[in-house]
Amino acid sequence: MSNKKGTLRFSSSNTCGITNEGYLPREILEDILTRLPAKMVGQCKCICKYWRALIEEPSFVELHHFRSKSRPGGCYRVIYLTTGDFQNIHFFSANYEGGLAQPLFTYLKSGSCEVEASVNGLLCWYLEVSESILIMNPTTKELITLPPFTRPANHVRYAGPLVSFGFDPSTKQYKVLNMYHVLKERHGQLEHSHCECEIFTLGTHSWRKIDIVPQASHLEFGSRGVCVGGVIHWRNSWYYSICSRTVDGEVVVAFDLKEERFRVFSLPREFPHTRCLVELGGHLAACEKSFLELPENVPVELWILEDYDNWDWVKERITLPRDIVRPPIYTNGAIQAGEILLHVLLTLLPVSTDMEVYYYGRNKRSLRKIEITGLSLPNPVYKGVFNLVENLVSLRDI
Amino acid sequence: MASSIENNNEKLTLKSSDGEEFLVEKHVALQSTLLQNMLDSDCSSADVIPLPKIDARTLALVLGYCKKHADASSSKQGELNSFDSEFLKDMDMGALFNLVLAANFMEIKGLLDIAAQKIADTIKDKPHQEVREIFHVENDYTPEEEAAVREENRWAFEGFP
Repeated sequence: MSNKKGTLRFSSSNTCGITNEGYLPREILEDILTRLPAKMVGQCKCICKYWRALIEEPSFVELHHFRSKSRPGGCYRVIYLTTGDFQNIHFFSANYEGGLAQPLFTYLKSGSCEVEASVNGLLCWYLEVSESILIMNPTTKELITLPPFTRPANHVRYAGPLVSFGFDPSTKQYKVLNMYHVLKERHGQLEHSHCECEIFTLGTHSWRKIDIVPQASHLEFGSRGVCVGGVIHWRNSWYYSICSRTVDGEVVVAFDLKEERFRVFSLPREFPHTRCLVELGGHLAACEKSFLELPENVPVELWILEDYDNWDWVKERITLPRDIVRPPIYTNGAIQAGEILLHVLLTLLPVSTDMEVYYYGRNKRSLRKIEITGLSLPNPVYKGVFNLVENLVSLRDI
Repeated sequence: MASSIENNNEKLTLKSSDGEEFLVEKHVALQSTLLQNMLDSDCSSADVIPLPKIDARTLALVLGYCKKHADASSSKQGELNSFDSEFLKDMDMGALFNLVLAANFMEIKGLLDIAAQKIADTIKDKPHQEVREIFHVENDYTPEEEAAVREENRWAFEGFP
């Protein structure tokens, strides 16, 4: 039995858990304990040393995370808000079915913050003031700061950092990608020059440069990446277009986390102009977003990449309730159950301690409203809502 | 698989650890991957198959589960689900442990699933000392060590008294 884990070390005579296995074989004990909620599992580390070592094994953590996707209570919401002066970030958690939110985590004097991505129940965020990238496990409230990344040379103009976060299931590695779009001036206008890109593997100590980055100037990508099947995907971002040049919007840029290589895929002609890609039941998906007022009962389009190998997209229409039609619709992640989270642009929400989000269920093709209450904060500014699945992984032990 | 269809009505004999013999229809026995593999690998069904780790009381329960699941058609999923929850309803921990061990040994995935889930549901709200007694493990931490583990996993105890 391994005793390498954790920061606590006991003398070896105490740690040979084989004397305390009880009468169940290890695989059955693992089978039973991976069915418990994360908090219960965390408490069970106090049962005996053998249990603690078992619970901290990577195979246990992986099975627990997998089972949490379908276990009632295994999926939950994280809502993050800032105070009106943008000084502090507050994270709240709420049940999948809504209800009273619980304060989860507060980060004081953070300055402006963007949560860039969520993968396997972990969140990756960027703090502007300290110029740092953080990874957080909301299940265990663990937080780590990545080592400093490289900025472009001082004299150039650039857009970034653009941070993406992904997980490669084949190597079981978490990786963070950071990109800068370096700009140049031509005929008095800013133009894209090239991308600078670095990658960080969790568990290592330094960033590595990615040399081959798509060069085409129209490929303005890098924010709001979505990781599906070990590949991070970005919609070409006309919304964030930093150059005067018209952006050709019909591509998805993909980065394979295992091979660490970029690829560019074309999109169908009538693909919606959204910069938001989402994951829906393990598939890449995109939800049309209306910037203009839509007449009532006009459905919006949901596009789903059903067949990744053949790059075959299918289209579904969702008719939204009246009160969600006018402001843009934001989508943030989805869970294995095949539901997608929709909400209105959060900054447009009236100041309130309650909020409403919607789930669109693919199987039933229906929309349901979830109310979250108790987001008590003076003068709150809503920043984001995420669907997360419990994960016991220890960021320091990756 | 052709042979197993031809011999659908055949029976085989299983023998529990305490020597009791059970005559089982072959299609019921096939719920167990272990038995299926034994039959596939030319183990004659005329032989008595000993199951030295499973006592008669547990084996009777296991075979009851297998019979229900082998006889029900796939369209009766709802009925099977209510059978499953009724099947384990008032079972004590000792019987559940025997059942989960038997299901694991005989490789009956559905039974293993429901028995493991039932054990998990039962221990969910129990105090640690009771969980230790159920699983026959001892607290081998010194008080200082246990306090340190608790402190390191404070997140898991927040919101609990």
